[in-house]
Formats: sequence, structure tokens, C-alpha cells
Amino acid sequence: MTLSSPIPFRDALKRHDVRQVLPTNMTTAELRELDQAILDRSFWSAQNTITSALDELKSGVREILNPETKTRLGADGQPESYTAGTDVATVRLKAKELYRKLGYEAEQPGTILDHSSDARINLVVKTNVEVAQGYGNWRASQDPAILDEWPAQELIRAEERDQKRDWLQRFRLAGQMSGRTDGWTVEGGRMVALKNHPLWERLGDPALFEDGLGNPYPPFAFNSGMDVQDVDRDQAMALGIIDRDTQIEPQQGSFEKEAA
Amino acid sequence: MAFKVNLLDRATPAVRGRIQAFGGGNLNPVMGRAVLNLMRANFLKWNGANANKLGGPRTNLGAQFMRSTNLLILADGFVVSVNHVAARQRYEGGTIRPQRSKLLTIPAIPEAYGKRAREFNNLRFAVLNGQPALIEADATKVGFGKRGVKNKGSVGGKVFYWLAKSVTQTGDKSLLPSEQGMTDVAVQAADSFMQRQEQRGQA
Repeated sequence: MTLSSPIPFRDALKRHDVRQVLPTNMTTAELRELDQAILDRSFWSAQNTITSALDELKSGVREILNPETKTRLGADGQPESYTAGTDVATVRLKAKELYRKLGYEAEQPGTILDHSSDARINLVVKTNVEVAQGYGNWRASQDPAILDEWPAQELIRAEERDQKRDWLQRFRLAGQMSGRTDGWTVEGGRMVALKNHPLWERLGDPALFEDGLGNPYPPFAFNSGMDVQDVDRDQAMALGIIDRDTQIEPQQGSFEKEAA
Repeated sequence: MAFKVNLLDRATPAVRGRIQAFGGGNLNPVMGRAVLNLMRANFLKWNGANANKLGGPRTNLGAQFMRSTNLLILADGFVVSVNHVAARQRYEGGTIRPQRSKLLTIPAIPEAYGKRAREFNNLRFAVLNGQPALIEADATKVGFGKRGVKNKGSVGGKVFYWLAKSVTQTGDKSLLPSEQGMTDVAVQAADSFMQRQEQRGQA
């Protein structure tokens, strides 16, 4: 095993790069009325009409997704490699400085409605980073051999929250609304469904859950702290949601279908 | 950070032979995904065990590493990459030097963690016991009640950040699973996949 420079997370970058900045005075609820295909291809923040700020945030998200290895001279004068990239705090600082320079004044300073607040900038940056990464992992799992060996996945908590949504209830509702009684289970408190089961689309559906992000992959909802982990076929068979031979059909992302 | 994995070097000759007879290249997605899953699980476990040293709101660095991990399949193996600016430093350790300024800012209190010094507009430079620092500027603190000023006091002097030209960190090898652990899960997954194909009469 040899450590080297990171390889680009291609699918995550593809997901992010396809988005065009969309300045808008629409609220989140109004934006949700738009076709998901438009939202998939847009980089937006509700009621943010400041194009330069949105450009800055979009560019910051890309830099977070794509750190690179560079070389510089060390203290001893010898070349040394280091990881160049950025993080949420640095993106947030640059955005705040830009808002200050533009003379932006919020009607409700310090709240989530204030585009220059920590809460708002963190939400925009983290959501966009995590959606791109969630898509990347989902896309990679569409390989037929991977779907054969791990045909299912489990909804898990990746980050603790002081106030947690009731994900077990959401999962059950998403299963009920999926139109299928097979292929998913909540046995023993575990939330497991076959990959590409319509339950996952329902779980992220803003028509069902107003904080839904409209994707069949994590984080599913704003600031959820949730993710998925693969469940192998033996376990999925033991849970009764698949047999030995059924194959899961690979899928394309909704924005890929548009391009095709 | 990324690493190219050719796990077959660590597998037993019998297993190696079986995988190569099956058609080793076809198994690379399965073996790669097994290692990716193990790494993701390890990052999640690390996240649970490693809160911010100063307390305060969590940055969930391990969960960030988990989400950043991805896989590239090659003809002769696969590469697992963790696309996060802090991953390699955390794993290997080493000396950090500022990229964009002359001094590093090291959080001294929970409120400073996860924030850039310039996000605060009330810090001033000071030298405390020979150590440069950014401290809260002196100011008058006024509280208001129903009948006007309720209390009055002063704030200032609290160290938010220590400043340094460089910082040397010890690496944390618990961030990644062992090479043997990765080999074991990859071989198990390959074995499971091959057996199933044989049972289906497809091998």
C-alpha cells in the first residue's frame, strides 16, 4: 500500500459542476415547486440574488471536494509535498468578506435568513458538498458486480444531532409511499432497503418531507447527519428482502438522464 | 490522500490462484468496494471516538473523511482516495506551515474551534509569556433590563488563538484499517462473489 496524491472524486465533481448559479428571490417552498431537473442543475440559496456571492460559494464547494497535492520548499530548503485545498471555515470567511464588501445588510442579522450568517453559509456549503459526495458514492455503487454483492443499503446516523428527526418513522412512511411492500424492512430497528428501491426517492422527497433535498442518496434532508452503508447479499437474504439470484438494475442520476 | 491497493500480494497462494483463475480483473470492483466500506466504517468509528479536543460544537471530521472516500478501479487493482484537505496530515502527522499568512492560528477556547480568526472583529494581537496570541479586545459590556442599564462590566483579555510559525503533529494510524484487515475483507468479498456465481452456474 503506497500513499500518494488524492485522485479526483470524479462523480462528485460531475454532480457539482453541472450546476449553474441561479440567483433567485424565491423561497425554499417556491423553489420546490420547480421541476427537480432544474434544481438538479442549479446552485441556489433561497432568496439569494447576489450572483457574485453564489459564485464564491460554488467555487468554495468545488475546492473542498477537490484537494490537490502540491510541492513547496520546506524550512530546510528541500521540496516537500502538502495537500492544498480548503475547508468550510475558509469558504465561510471569504463569503462573509464578500458580503461585507458588497455592503450587504440582512433584515434579520445573525439568523438563518441572513445570507452572511454562520448558520446560513454553513448550511449552503455543507449541503452542496454532501450532496455531491452522496451522489458520488451512489453512482459508484451502480456497478453491476457491486450491486450483486451488496444489493441493499442501510440508513445510518453519521453525525449526532441535539435534535434528531424520527428517521424510523420517515423510513416507514417512505416505504409505504414507495408503492412496494417488498424489498425493505425495519426489523430490529434497522432501516434497510434494496438499492434503487423507490423508497430512497421518497425518503428525500420534498413533497413528502418539506426538508427533503429531492435526491435518492444522502443526506436526504437539510443538515440531517444521516448516511448509508452497504448491506451484503447474505445479510439482505437473512432480512428477507432479496433472494440469491435477483439482480438490481443499475440506474442513472436524474441529471444524467437529462443530458442523455 | 490516496493509496493504490494490490491486495493479492498479501493473500495466500491458494486464494490468489483461485481469484486469478476466476478472472481477477472482474473481482476488482467487489474487492475495492469491500475495502471502501471498511474504510468508511473505520472513519465513522473514529468520528465517534474523537470529539474536538476543546469541546464545543463538533466538526465531525471523521464523518467528513468518510464522505470524501472514493474508489477508482484499475486493471490490476484499485485506488482508494480520501479527498479531504486534512486527511493525510491527520494520518501521517508532520509539520504544518501557514499557506496564506505568516502565522498559524491555534484555537485556545471552544468558541474559536472551526472558525477563522478574521471572522471575529474584536481580537487584538498580544504577547503572553513570550507566546504571540490573538486575544479578545477590552470592551465595556452592558446589559439592559426593563428600566434601562441593568449591569455593566468589562470583557477582554481572553485568549482566542495562540499564534505559531509551524505546528508538528503526531500521526494517527487508527484512522485507517490495517493492511491485513483490508486484505481480509477484500478476499472475503471476492470469495463470496465467486461462490455465488458458481452456485448460479455462471462461473
